[in-house]
Amino acid sequence: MHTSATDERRRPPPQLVVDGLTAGYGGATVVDDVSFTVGPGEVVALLGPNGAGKSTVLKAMVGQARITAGSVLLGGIDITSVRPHLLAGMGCGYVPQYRDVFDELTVRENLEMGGYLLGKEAIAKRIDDAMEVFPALAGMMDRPARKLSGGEHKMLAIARVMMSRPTLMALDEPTANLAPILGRRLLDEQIRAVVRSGAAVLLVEQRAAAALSVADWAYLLVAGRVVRSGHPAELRAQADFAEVFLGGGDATTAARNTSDVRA
Amino acid sequence: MDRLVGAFGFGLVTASILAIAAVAFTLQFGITNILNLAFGEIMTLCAYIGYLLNAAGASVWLALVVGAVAGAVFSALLNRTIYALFVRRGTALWGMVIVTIAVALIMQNTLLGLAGPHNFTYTIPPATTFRFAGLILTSLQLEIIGVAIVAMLTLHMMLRYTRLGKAMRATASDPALAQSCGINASRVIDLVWIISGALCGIAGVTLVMNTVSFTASTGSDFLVVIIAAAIVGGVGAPYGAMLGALLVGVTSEVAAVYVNASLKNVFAFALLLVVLLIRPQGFIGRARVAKGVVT
Ligand SMILES: Nc1ncnc2c1ncn2[C@@H]1O[C@H](COP(=O)(O)OP(=O)(O)O)[C@@H](O)[C@H]1O
Ligand SMILES: [Mg+2]
Repeated sequence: MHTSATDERRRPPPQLVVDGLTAGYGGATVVDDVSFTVGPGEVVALLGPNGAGKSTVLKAMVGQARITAGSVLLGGIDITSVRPHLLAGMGCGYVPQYRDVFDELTVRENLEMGGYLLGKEAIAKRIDDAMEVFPALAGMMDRPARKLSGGEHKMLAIARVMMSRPTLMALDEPTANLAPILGRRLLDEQIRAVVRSGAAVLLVEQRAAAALSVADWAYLLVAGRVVRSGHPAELRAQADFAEVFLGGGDATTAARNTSDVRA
Repeated sequence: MDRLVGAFGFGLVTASILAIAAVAFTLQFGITNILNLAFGEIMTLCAYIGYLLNAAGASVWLALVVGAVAGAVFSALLNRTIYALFVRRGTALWGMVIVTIAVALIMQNTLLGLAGPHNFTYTIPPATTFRFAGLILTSLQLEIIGVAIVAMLTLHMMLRYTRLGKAMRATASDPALAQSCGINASRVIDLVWIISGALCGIAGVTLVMNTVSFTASTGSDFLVVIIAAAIVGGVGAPYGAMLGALLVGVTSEVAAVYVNASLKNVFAFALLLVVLLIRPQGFIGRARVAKGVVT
């Protein structure tokens, strides 16, 4: 694995430590011995082609995929086998790639569910805060979530997770279904707002260029393994990485091309 | 004309009982994803427990309360001890249907064995008759309608406005996402069985309060009508079930008066087929039946 030791030392002490994570579904192993860290106030990008296992890493962290080895520590506490519904209370926020809002509930009800563990007053206050960060949502509080556009939908999903002020926010391809401009704005503005709150942000993206522009650190996952990691500038400077992941080429063929990078 | 209005009155009473049952049935399916075909037997069980109390001198209203409690306890236990076991093993929707049919058969035959092949009748004090706008209803029938209205309003308020009700709808919409918000989905599902089980018990007792007598198969005979009402409204949609109950209840009673009482279910199911032809997803359902989602 290519990693610059000097850069690594400049990173904050980690909020999230994933160590030797091996996980999958049923008997099948999808991710194998994956390790990475995310510090508070840091955006860490988890990049990789379609099918690499990025979503599975996140699902394993939140108890939706089976972990067979390794551990997940959040704020120094081992959450590897904590029951899924207790994770929110421990500071874990998760926006899945698909099915990330309650379609049948209104925008306001979605936000209320995001603040499920809070009192009435805190919920009301944080809904106001959410409307400041996402002004577009303010005018549609009583609309069912299934009626939102792609962009509004994603904003709601993120606003919902922000309700609980998580110390870790895991976002699975938040820009995937958005127009490029909207995706860019989401990363540049709203994700930045999350980071300013001091949360550790784990950002899964297939669109490497956009993700690297906001990330403080990045890991590249190919075929279930972390094959390299580094500071975004450093990764961009690596000719083979840039060619395969930033050249606008097809990321799936990139997977095959990159398998020789495994060191 | 008088006959029509009179039949409409009966229809309202049937619809009220049907609404309580259909909403409970659809709530179970919509939130827990289990199509509980033992529902009719639980109704009968509660009606029978109510009967034992009533025969011992208790009023029908005490029988109703005890029936509700029995329905809640029994339904929650049934889920915990049997259904949840199969769900945890990964039994899918249709497999679960078979499990519920097995439970229904076991219950019905056990009831038959315990209570015998008799007709049971509640002892109900003579009722006052009320007439207005051509409708002729007894005080008991009005009270049943009242029970249904209170039950539906309470359920509506709970689902729309309380934290628990919203958590139930969130769990129905997406259990995994609900858990990631901190909602204890298995606890929510327990509560769904308790609430829907209580409604099931109320439906069982009011059903036999409204008929001359009942047997061990009264509940399961009624289940087909419950399913019709739930499907007409859109499976998994409580408000649809209320509407479906009204339509099915009134249609079948009007048909009973005008055509033949023994044909009333024929008309209820003809209505079901017509609705399914025009709107396969039911009145309220949004073609999400397979997902089993509560709106
Ligand atoms: N629920 C599941 N059950 C079985 N296999 C799955 C499931 N979800 C994903 N997979 C498999 O795991 C692999 C990695 O998927 P995923 O983690 O979604 O990749 P990525 O998010 O990087 O695109 C794929 O081969 C996929 O088919
Ligand atoms: Mg994915």
